[in-house]
Amino acid sequence: MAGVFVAVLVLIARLVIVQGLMGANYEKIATIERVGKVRSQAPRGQIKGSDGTVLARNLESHSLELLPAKVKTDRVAAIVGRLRELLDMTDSEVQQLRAELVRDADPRKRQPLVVRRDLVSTHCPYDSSQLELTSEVEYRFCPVCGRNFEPIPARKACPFDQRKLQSVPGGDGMRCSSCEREFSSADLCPYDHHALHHGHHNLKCPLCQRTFNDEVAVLRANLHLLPEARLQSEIQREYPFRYLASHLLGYVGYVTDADRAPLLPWLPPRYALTDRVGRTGLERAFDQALRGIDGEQVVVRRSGTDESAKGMDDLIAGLQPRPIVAGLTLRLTLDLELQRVAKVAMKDVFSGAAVVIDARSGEVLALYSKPSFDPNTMSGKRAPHGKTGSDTAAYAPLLDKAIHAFPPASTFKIVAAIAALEENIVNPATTFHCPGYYDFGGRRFHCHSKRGHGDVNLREAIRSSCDVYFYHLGELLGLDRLESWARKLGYGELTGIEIHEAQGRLPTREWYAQHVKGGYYPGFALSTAVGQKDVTATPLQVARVYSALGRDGILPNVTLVQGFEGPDGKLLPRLPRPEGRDLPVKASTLRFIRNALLAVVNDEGGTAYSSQPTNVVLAGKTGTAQAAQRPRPDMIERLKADPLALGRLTTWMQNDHAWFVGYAPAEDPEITVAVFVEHGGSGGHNAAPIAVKIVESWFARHPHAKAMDAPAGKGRRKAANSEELDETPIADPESVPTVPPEDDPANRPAGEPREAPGGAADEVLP
Amino acid sequence: MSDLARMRQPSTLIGLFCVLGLCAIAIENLHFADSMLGTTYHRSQTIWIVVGLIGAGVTARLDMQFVRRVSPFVYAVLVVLLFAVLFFGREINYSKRWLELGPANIQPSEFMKMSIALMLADWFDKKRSQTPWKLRQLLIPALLIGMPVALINREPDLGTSVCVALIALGVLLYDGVQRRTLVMALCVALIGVGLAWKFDIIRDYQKGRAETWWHAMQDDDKTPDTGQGGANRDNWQAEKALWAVGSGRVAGRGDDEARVSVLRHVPFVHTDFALACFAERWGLIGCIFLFGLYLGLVWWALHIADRAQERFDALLAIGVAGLVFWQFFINAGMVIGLLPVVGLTLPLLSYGGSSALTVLIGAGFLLNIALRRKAR
Repeated sequence: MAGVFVAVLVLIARLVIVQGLMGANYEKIATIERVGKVRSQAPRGQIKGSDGTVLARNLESHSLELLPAKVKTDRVAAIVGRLRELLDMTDSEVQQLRAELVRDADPRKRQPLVVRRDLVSTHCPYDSSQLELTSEVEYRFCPVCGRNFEPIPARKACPFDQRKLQSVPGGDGMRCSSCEREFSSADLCPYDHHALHHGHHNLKCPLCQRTFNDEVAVLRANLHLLPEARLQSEIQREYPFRYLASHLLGYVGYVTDADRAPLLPWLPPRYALTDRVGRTGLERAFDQALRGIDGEQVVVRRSGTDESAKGMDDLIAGLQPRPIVAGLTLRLTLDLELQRVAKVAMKDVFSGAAVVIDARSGEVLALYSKPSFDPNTMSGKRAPHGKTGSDTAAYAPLLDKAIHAFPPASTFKIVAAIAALEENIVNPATTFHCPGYYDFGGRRFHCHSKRGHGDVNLREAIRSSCDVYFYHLGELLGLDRLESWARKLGYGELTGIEIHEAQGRLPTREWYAQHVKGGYYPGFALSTAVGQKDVTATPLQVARVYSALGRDGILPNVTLVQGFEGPDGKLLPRLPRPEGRDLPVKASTLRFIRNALLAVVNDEGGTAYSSQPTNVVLAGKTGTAQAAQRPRPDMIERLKADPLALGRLTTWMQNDHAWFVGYAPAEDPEITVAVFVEHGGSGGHNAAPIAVKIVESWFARHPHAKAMDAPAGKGRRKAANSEELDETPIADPESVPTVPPEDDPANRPAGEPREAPGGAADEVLP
Repeated sequence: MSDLARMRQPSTLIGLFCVLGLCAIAIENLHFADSMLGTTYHRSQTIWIVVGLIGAGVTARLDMQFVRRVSPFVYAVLVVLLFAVLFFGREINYSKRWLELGPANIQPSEFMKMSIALMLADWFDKKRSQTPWKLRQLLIPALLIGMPVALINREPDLGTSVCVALIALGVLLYDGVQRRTLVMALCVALIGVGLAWKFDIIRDYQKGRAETWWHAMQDDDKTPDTGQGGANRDNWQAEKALWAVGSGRVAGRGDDEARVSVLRHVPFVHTDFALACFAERWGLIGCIFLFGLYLGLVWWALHIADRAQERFDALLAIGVAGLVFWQFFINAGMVIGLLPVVGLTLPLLSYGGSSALTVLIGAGFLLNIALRRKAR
C-alpha cells in the first residue's frame, strides 16, 4: 500500500510540476501551436522579349489526386465510375486507374495517385490562351481511342479553317486534314466503331477554336461525392511560344536532393521540397533572380474561439510575417519577330542554328536552334497531344546548336588571311596558283573546286573560298601563329552570353600531342587554316568575330539581357557591361577583309553571289565543312523499327555542314547573322539563303537610310556593287595589287588607338 | 450479517464510490471528446459499462469454487483466442488486437489480465507451501505467464504484455518468494527484456509505431508544417499530450477553449490519451481527484487482500489491485511525460469495451470477496 501511495504521490508531484509550475509555459506553447507560419512561395519572375512580349510566365495548374490510404476496396468501383463520368477517361485509363487502386500495397507507403494533371480550367492546353465561356457545345467522345468528335457541319468544309473535309478511312466520320479536327454524326467512332459518349463543352479557345469542359469546376462541384480525392493546385511555369525560343529560355524542374543540399553543412536547405529550379538556359542562369524570396505567412489554425486564447494577439504580432518578394522580370534583347523569321527561314532544314546579334552592342536579337523542344513538357506540363513516332531525337533537340561548337570551315579563313597580312607574310597582291589541289607532306589536299581557281590573290581567294591559297597560308604561318591569331580575334573564348555556352577549340601542338595518336603533323596547320580538322567554334562566336570585322575591330560582348524590370514595368538600371575589346589588327587589314567579305556576296564569282538581300547590302562569308558521318550505333538501335527515318538520318549525315556568316549593311553593320545548317550541304546554297531571309526581314522593319536609296531588285546588284567599289580605294579587284595597305594615305597609322566606331566608319566611307 | 449490511461497510462503500465515479467520469469525458471530434464513442462505451456493471453484479454473487474450476478453461480459451488474433485479428492502427465477434470487437488480451490473476491465485493456493517459492518451483507459473505475454507482444501490444507480466509479478511477490529466487528471476527478466529490446521490440513494434505516427501526420494534410520539428520527433505524441496537460493549469480550461486547443492535435484522445483530455479540462485539482479515485480503488483491493481469510481471495484481490494500478500508473505516467509511450489504456476512462468489462469484473470479484469475508 505504501508503494502505491508513493507512486501516486510521484504522479501528483509530476502533475504539480507540469500543470502548476510549468503550466503557463505549456499553455503558451499550445497557443503558439494554433498560430503558425506557413511558407508561401514567391512567384517566379517572367521572361519577356525586347518588345515586352511574355516568353515565360506562371499559370495555375490543377491536378486531381486520389489518396490510396483512404480508398476502401468496396468504393473502388464507385470512384472509378464517377471519375470516368466526370473526366472523359478512356477505357485504358480507367483500367489503369482501377488496377492501381486495387494494387496490393501498404497504404501507408503509397503516394497520392495522380488521376489527371493540368486539368482544363482557364487556359487552352494547346496554345495557353485564355478560354472563353460559350453556350454548351455538343461533342462526342470515344472511350477507346480518346478522340473527341464534333458534329459534322452542314457545309462539308471545316468551320475553323474552311478546308474541305476528308472522310475517315473505313468509317462515316469526317476529318479536317489541316487542323486535325474530327467530325462525326453517328454514334459510333469512325475509327474503331465503338459507341461514343455524349457530352457538352462550355469553354472555347478564341485562338484555336477548340472547345473544352471546365474540368476543375466540374470536379469541385462533385468533390463531395469523392471524399478520397482532392484537387491540388500548383503554379506551373508556362512558355506560351513553346518551340520558338526554348533553348535560350531553358526549362524548370523539381529540385533534387543535390539541389537542396546546403552550401555549408549547418545552413538550412537551399530549396523547399516542392520548389522548382531552372535547369537550362536563362531559367538556370538567372534562377536566383527569377526565383524571388519566399515569404512567411502567419496562420491561425482551428478557428472558433480565437479571442479567448490568452496572449494570442501578442503572439500574432510577434510572429512577424515575412512578405513575399516576387521574382524579378527579365527583359531580353531578343526580337521575337526576328526569332520567328529565323524559325520559318529554317523550316526546310533538319538541324541547325541561326544567330543574329546587334553588331555594335553584341545584343542577341535572335538565337534559334533546330530542332527545338517544348519547354512546357520539360517543365512537367501535360502535353496536350502526344507527339509520337517523331524521330527528332536523332537530331539532338535539346542541344542549343547556336552555342555548340562545330568546325567553322571556310568562315575561319579570315583568321589565316588576317594573320598573314599582319605578319607580313603576304600582301593583298600576293598570288598563288590553284590547280584544284595542293600536295603537302606526301598527301594531296583538295580544293573544293576540282578544276582549280587558277592564279588567285588574297581577295579572290576569300571571295571564291579557294582552299589552296589558304593551304599555302597555313603552311607559311604554321599552327602556332594561326592559333594565337584566332585567339586574338575572339575564337576559343566565351562570348559573354549569359547562358551556358561552349568555348570552342583551337588546337595547338600540345593539344595534338595529348589527344591525337601520332601527335602533331605539319599538315594539320593546312587543315586548320581552312577551318577543318579539330578547330571548332560556335555560331555565336563566329557572329561575334564577324561583328568585330564589320565594326572596325571592336569585339562586342554578347548579351541576351536588357535588364530586370521593376514592379512598374520599367527597366531597372543594370550594372555597366564590360566594353568590347579592340582587335589588335591594323585598320588597313580590316578594311581589306571587309572588302573581300563584300565581294563574297556581291561580286560575280563570290560563293554567296546568288544570295543577296533586296533591301540592304550584305557582306559575309560562306563555309562548307566536311562532316560526313555515319549514325551512331545507339541511333541505329533506336530507329530500327523505322527504316524510313533511319534512311533519312543516314542520308542526312552524309552531307557537309553549311555555314554563312555576314553583316549588313556592309558599309556600317547593324546586325550580324550567323547561320549554321548541320549536314545542310553547301554554305552558299543552303545557309546563305536563310541568312538573307533574316536580314531582309530585319531591314524591312528597320529601313536603313543608305539601303533605301539603293534600287531594289536584281538591277540593284550591279549598281550597288559599283557604288561600293568606288567608295573604297582597294575595292576594285584590278587595283588590289597596286595598293599595299600600309602605304595607303587614307588609312590611319597602324597601332593608333581608334576612336568611336561610328566616327571611324565615317572616315573610311566618304 | 446480511449482504446488504456488509455492503454498508466503509471500505466497500469507498470502493464502490470509486468504481462508479470512474464510470461516470469516463462517460462524461468521452462525451466531450466526441463533441470535439464528431464521433460517437461515448454511446457504445455507456453500453459496455452497463454490461460491465451487470457483469460485476453477477460476478459478486458467483461461487468462488465454480470460478476456480472454470478458470483454467477460460485461460485456455483466451490463449487460443490470442493465437486466433494473430491470424484473424482485425487490424486497427496497424496492430492486430481485436477479434470481430458479431457486433462487437473484443480484445482477448484485456481479459487475459484478469484470467492470469485467477490462474496464478488458483495455482499458488493449490500448491501452497510454507516456505517462500524457489525458482524451480516456479516453472509452471512462468509458463503460464510467459505464453500470453509472448502472444500479446506479437500482436504487437507491448503495453498490455508488460502489464500482464506486472500483474503476475505482483501476485507472485505477494505470495512470497526466496530472495535468491527473486534476484535470479529479476536477472532473467532483465536479460529477457534486453534481448527482446534488441531483437524483437525494436524491430516490430517501435518502428511500426513510429511509422504509424509518421503516416498519421502525413494524412493530416490540413496541418501545415510550422518547421518546429513535428512528426520527425519520436516523442511527438507525448509532447502534444504534455502541452494539453500543461495547458490545464491548476483549475482547468473551459470546454470551449479545450475543444479548439492543442487537444485537437493530441492523438487518441478517446483511448490512450484520455487523461490528457481530462487533465486539460479539469486541471490539477481535477487530476488529483481522479487519481484519488484510482488510489481508492487500489486501496480497496489491497484492503480486501489484507483482510481475506483465504489465500486464493487475497491473491485474486492483489491481482485486481495490480490490474488497476499498473495500467493507471503506466498510462498516467506516459501522458504526463514520466514514462515512454506504450499502448496502454487507462482503466475505465479510456474507450474500450473489453478493458472496461475486465476492470468491472475485477471489481465484481472484489465485491464477491468483500461480501463473503465476514461470513466465515
